[in-house]
Amino acid sequence: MRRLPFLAALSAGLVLAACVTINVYFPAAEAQQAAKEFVDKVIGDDAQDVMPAPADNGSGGMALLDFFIPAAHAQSVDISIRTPEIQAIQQRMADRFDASLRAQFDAGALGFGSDGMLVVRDAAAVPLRERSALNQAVADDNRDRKAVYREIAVANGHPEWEQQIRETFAKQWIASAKAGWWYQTSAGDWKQK
Amino acid sequence: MRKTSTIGKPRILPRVALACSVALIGLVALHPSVASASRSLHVRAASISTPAGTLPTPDIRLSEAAPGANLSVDVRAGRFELADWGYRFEAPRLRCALVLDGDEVRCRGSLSAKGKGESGVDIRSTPNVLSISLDRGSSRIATSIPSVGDEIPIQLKALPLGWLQPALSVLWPEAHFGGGTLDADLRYRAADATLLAGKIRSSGLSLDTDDGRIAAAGLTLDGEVDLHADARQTRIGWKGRAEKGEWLLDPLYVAMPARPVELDVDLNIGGNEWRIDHLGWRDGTVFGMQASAVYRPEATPSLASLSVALQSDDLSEAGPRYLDSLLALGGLSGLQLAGGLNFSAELRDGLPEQMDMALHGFSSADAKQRFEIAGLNGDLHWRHRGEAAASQLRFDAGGIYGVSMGRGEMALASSNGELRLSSPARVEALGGVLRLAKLLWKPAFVTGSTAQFELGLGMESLDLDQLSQLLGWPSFGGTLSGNMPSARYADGVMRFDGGLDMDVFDGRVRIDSLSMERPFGVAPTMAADLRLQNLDLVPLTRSFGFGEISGRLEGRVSDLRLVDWAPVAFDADLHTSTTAKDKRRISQRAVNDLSSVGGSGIAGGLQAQVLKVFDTFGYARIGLKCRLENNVCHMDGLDSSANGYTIVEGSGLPRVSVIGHQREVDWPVLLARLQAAAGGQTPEFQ
Repeated sequence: MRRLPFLAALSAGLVLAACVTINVYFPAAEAQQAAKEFVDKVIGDDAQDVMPAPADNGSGGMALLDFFIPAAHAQSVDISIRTPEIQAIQQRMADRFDASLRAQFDAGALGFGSDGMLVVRDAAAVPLRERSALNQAVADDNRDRKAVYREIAVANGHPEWEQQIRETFAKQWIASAKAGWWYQTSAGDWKQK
Repeated sequence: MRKTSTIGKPRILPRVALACSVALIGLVALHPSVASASRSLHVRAASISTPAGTLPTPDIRLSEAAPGANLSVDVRAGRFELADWGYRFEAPRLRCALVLDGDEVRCRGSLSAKGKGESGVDIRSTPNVLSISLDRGSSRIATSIPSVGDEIPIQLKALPLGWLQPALSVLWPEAHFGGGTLDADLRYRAADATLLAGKIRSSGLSLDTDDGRIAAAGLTLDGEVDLHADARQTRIGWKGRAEKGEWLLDPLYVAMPARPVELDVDLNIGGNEWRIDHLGWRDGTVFGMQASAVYRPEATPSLASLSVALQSDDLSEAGPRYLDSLLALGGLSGLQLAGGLNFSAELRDGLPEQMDMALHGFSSADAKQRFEIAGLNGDLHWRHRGEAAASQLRFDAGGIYGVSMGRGEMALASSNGELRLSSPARVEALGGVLRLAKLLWKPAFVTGSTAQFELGLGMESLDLDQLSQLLGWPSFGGTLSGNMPSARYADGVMRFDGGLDMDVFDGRVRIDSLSMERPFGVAPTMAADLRLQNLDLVPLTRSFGFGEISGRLEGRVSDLRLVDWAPVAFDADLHTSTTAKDKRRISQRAVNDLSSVGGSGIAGGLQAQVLKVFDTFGYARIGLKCRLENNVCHMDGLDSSANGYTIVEGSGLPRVSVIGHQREVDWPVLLARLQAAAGGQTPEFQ
């Protein structure tokens, strides 16, 4: 029975691999919930209650992993955005959205980019005098966004999640957008919601 | 009598390329061979074509209301097209009364086209010249076509720019006029080489592009144009003034000053190449620019060369006018600038070759008080190719986040695309000295990957008292010194190697693994590991107004992360030394304070009574741990049991121990407790 040691080694390897896997698991559903909470507060509470489809990250495998690994190990995936600094940025973004950005979304001048950033998609829809201020508001907002995506990843102990956080937010901005607002598909085309 | 014939191309026509429909229709009507003495003449033609446009199915009627009365002319056509210029008129019609006076033939009346309304027209023909003028309201187009020579004068008065939209659409399909008028006194020649030259004044010029990235509104341009075009190239010269209004060349937005700006352009287009021989902008002494460039749209890189020079003798005016829109994109809106600046740059094959800057009495202050510099003088040179260049900069004062710096001087050198410090620089700050041992910058196109930025910093005896005041902390004496020989900036993070030592409270706090993100951007972040060694608790507790504890404090604060200078994460373990020889006593108030931090409170009854009797107590150990995460502090102490964790382990009699019960404390709550404990003198990170 030379196969038994081999199987044992394989099982051990699988368990070890599982332990490694747990570290790179990105909590898509939790991240999405956190993103929704954040985005709705910036855009406004009356945002449409549409959840984007969760990203496929192989979370189906998690159920299996949960079987082997006590939940306590896997539970540190609560994506939190409660630090006052992130909330300060969120408040600033909400104020900026109300003060200038919302009107430009309504006018079609602005769109949600596929990378979680704001894009001036039609500057011609804005009077010349206001274009420079709009550029500035968009640049300011994008700086805030970049900091938020980064800080959420870092605050949750996984700086390497930044890109996934950003993708999750990108989907959520679009999901929470009002009808008539523009967004960019992953192929780079503009679509009106 | 009715007669139908095809009229050939009259001799004069080729010279009328630009002189729009008026001239063409007018010429046909006035041809002497047609206007012979008869009561009515009706001419139809298949088409009339000219180098400028075609007039299909013309229909010409001459009639005499009564014998001897003036002839009336009525010319109609299906449409008139000036295809090269983008004009197309449906159902053009000229009606005028013909008067023959000696050599002069004159026809006055109206010209109309479907959807275009009606204009007054006045056509005069003598053997030497054919004059045509067209009036509508205050707008007027007039031209005189001489029978000899090939230059045609054209006068335009208060011409709505909208009338030129078809021509603009041919030249620049994405652009459209929004308003404005044009006055011009031009000479036009359409022989082998086209010439258009003369004075132009455009008022209230408003223009926009489909994507809105290039636009102007209410702009006045006044000057002389000189355009030569032949089969090989088109040369456009402009010399004049620009004033009023505003313009946008995304992202540059400029609201024009009250005083006119001199604007000169020499542009040469041909052979797949746009050559700007000269572009000049002179706004008095406030701001000037001279540039030349060669642009090859089909080549890679398309910018073959660029040479640009900027000057400003008064940045306090030039800044808001020319730089604000650009600075705002970089998060520096409202940056205060003053002094003078000269800048020049050379690019070859799309890459910068050299940049030179000279500063005179330059000063700058950030609107958010993040940095400032005053009395900056000297020059700064950067070289990609060619010989190395040395630079020298001096400043009277500077500041970063409220830390004032004294006079400083920097010697720099540049070659092969690298700018580096050539000898160490020092500047006085916070009662000590900041040393810049190394500074190196290489842009991304030189390194081939990402831009390289390295710093070597040293600090000598910076006064912590001043620093703590700046940070809003309780005042405490001590110094900050250290050496961080090489700091690198990559992926938005500045990582410092080496470390700093805070010599404070007769002990030392070692700062390692220091890094910063977005140091001048949104929510600046600083991360570090702190190691506390042998801090004397007597002055420490006194500084923080935290009762009084004697003994020595040691421990660590790992993975400290400050966002916006406030801690958002750390793993702290602070405890008293068990090896130090100092007395270990803790005052009654300190016991109270530590109890409140742990959320335990002092027990009542006998214990409280005993406590009141004694001022201080002996202790064996004091220890407190806090892991801050997501705004919650996970607390622990010296040891831990189901009932709580020990913060103070008493010693001797009476033995006082402080046990903490709350494991999870909201960080703001903990801060508030600390603040209350310290009687309002708690450290508050700002």
